[in-house]
Amino acid sequence: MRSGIHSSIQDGGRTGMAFYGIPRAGFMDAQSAAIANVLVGNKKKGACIEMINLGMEVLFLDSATIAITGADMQAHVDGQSCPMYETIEILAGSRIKFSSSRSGMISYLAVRGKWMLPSVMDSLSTYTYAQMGGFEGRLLKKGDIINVASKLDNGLSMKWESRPNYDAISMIEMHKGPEWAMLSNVHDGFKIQVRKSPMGNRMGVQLLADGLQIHVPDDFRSQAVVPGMVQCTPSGELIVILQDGQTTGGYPRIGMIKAKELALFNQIKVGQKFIIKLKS
Amino acid sequence: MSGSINISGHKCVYRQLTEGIIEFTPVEHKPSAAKIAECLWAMKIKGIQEVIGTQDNFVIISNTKIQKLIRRLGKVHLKIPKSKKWFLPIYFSDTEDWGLVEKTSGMTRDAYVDLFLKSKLKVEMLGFIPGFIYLKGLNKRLQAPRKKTPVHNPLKNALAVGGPYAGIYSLPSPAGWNIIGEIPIDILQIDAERPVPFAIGDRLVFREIDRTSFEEMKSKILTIQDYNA
Repeated sequence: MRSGIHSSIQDGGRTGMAFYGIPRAGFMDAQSAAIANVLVGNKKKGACIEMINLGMEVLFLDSATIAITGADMQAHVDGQSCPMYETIEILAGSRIKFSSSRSGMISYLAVRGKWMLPSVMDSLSTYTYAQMGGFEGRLLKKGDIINVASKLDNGLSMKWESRPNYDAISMIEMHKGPEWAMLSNVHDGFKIQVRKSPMGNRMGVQLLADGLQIHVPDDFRSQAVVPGMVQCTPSGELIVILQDGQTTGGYPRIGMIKAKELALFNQIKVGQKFIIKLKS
Repeated sequence: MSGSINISGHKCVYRQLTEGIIEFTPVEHKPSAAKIAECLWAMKIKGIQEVIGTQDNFVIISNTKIQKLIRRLGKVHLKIPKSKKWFLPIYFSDTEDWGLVEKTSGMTRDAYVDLFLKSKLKVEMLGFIPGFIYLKGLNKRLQAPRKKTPVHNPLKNALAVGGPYAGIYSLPSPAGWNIIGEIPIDILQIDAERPVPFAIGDRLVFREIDRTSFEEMKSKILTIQDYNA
């Protein structure tokens, strides 16, 4: 009924095609998506709707079993506040409304059953750049109807103390990347305060940082990159390659954020200050 | 962790970049790193999730322990297929980038096109973005510098030159190379087992077509294989 800013269908992603420059795509926060899927009885890597920054409004044409995880987008079902991290039964004709995110960036809506959409290279993940996967290879928009073949199961809920608190993320761990040694004046206890620039998307995000100096040899050529790799530009800015990112890149790869940590990293809001710390 | 390995007669040094990501640098230049990568990719070896080839090396992303993977790679028999020759129709359209290309080459567009069509271009690398093709063998006189800041290229299947390379942007994207023409056939075939028909080392021979044939071929929705049949 309303699409939000960047709502798309994602799953665990497509593997094996990086050789041709086709990235894995898939969940920006695989942990939250897996929890949503488990709560409705689907496979952990099954399809969900991923909403970034601002949520959507969904009309259920049939009854459904759903779960919401990740960023808190203040979901309401027919005007009533709707809990997160638990199985919810929705009646046919109900509307669920998400707003802007209060905490975190990315929210998942899982719906029990099989998502009746064509898979591309064994994945339902939307990769808008090549218009592949998901719903016609594009972001969701008003009027789209998604068919999910439902099945029955019992409800579950996640303990409060186990749920993530994105506002509390103040530090992200980074491992040394292959070109770490190109940085000047760094040491093993390296820490730097950064914030995300507004120029980010599912392909990558730029981090604003101060005081980084790098010496890039003239003959430095393109190298393989994967989601989570941290590149440093000659002017000392950091770029983190994300889920829809390119597969090779020409900037030195000074660090690597591992998959679990990357899920948390992706939930950090634009402008929020946090520390990147080198894992010793 | 690092060491050296003999992959089916091709000696490579390797180092683990981070857990599950291993970079291999072949000691010899032939076959190229990208070619070895392509053959390994095609073998669909257990435990290998991704293979990414670049000019100097290739990277394997694996969910298997490195020792196990190295042992497995030491036992493979690589079959390196013969390279092929592909013909491609090209319409040298009126793009904005021709100005810079003419200026840096000091050639008129006609002279540039003539020399370009005589170039022996070979696929050196694939990837970076979906369906991007790096071609080596561009005559020095035809080389034009890359743009400092990429500019959005709205064209599919666009032929471009940048630095020592010619290349094809299969999809619209920000482009740092200079666009000089358009191919009326889709390079990227996402439903095919290999999403790009060309293999590393294949030769691409361009045949100039005019605007009328360009529009006509585009409306027919051919494949590269149809055109080369």
